[in-house]
Amino acid sequence: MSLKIKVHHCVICEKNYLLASAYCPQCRSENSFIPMEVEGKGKIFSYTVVYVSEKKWEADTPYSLAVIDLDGGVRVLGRMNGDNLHPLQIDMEVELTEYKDQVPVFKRVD
Amino acid sequence: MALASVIGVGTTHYGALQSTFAELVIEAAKQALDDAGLGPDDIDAFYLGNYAGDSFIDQNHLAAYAASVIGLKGVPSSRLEGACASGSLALRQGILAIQSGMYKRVLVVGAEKMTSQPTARVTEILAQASNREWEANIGMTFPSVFGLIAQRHMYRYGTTREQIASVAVKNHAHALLNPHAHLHKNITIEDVCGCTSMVADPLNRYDCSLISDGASAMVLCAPDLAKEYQTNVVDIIGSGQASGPFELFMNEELTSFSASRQASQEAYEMANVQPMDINFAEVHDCFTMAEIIATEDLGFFKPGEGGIAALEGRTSLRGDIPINPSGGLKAKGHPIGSTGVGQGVEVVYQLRGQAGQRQVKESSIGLTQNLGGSGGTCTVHIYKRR
Repeated sequence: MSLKIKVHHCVICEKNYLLASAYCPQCRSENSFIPMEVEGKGKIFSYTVVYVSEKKWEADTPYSLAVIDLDGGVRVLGRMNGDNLHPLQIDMEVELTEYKDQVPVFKRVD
Repeated sequence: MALASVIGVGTTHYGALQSTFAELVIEAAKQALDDAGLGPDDIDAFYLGNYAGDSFIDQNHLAAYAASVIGLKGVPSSRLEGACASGSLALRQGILAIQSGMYKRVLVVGAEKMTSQPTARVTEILAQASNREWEANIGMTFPSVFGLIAQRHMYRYGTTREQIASVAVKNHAHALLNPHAHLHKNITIEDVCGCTSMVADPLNRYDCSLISDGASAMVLCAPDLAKEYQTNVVDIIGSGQASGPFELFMNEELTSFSASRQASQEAYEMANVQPMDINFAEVHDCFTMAEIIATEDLGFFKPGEGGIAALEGRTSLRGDIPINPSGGLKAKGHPIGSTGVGQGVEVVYQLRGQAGQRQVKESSIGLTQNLGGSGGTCTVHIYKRR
């Protein structure tokens, strides 16, 4: 069961964004965003494995990062669950299963 | 039509240097002033490109500080910051200052002292150029930005590990011929592909630019005055700058930077030239992968064909469009704020025929592309020998 992700929904053009801006990037409407939640489910758009990190993440290395296109029409960056370190693939279906120290962690959907 | 003319250039060595920030600034500025035959009192305005002096050397108010150590008196001094594009923002400000008609002779310096901090701290300081909350705090580093880009490029276009590696091999070979370069070491495709010192998959140590100290400088003047100071005039005929999505993941495709495309389009139109008219270029190869997409975004090769061209040798010193004859950020070094100015200095050396062993064949037009962050900032400049 995946967790939900908070997004900003443009009430004019209906596009969802992870980050709000004063003017909608797509339709250019002003102050058109309302908060909304979407399912933390989607597909990997790209991925990498980080071996050299900032100091505060050193204990976690190597860890996987993925850019994920959520089914709710939003793109996010997240960590991948350590079990899936090597077999990651673009287009693989993943879901958000936990926040670890506020970091969103995704897992492959079996 | 010339926007501004380069009448003086100078640069320090790039590398892990003993010199302080102030000493680097002085060395580059003095060389550029001497090259133009000017003294400090001939300069009307000063622009400094610097990314993070506040973090690297615990010093702020850096333009006035740099002006003071150079010995400029009363000269209006401003610092420009745009992550790794800081240097070219300072250069562009100098061009705009000349274009405005307010100033006749302008000094531009790019400088960074990075090796004063340990590598882990440098990684943190560089990560400040990404979104702290939504990228760095999730664990994204700059090498991983280009790891994500490389995976997508390989998936979408079939770009190979060997093609990406060939960029490092070429730029190392070029740097061997550049006495100013940080690294003087020949490497092979096997060295790169076989390296087990991984940084961000598929990129390893050989794919990454270096942590370097250095400074580069240029003296610009109004085009109608250039011949008074310099017999070997190089004109800047195109200048483009654009912003792109700040976060990497906000780019619709990870295989191209919209800011690079937009800035180059603006520069080409201003200079009234096409990509095919460019004889050689210094581009932003902070990572091997970055050079491949730069050569595509600049229109030298079709999307997806940058890696093929690199492996075929088309971008090497004797290829049809030499890319990074200096050795690039990859092997010449990447003192962040200095890079954008240093690229221009290299283009001027090349156009004047002063590049020694790394001299490209007879050329009249060169280009620079300088990228900040994950494509949040990009500038492109086009230079022409008069």
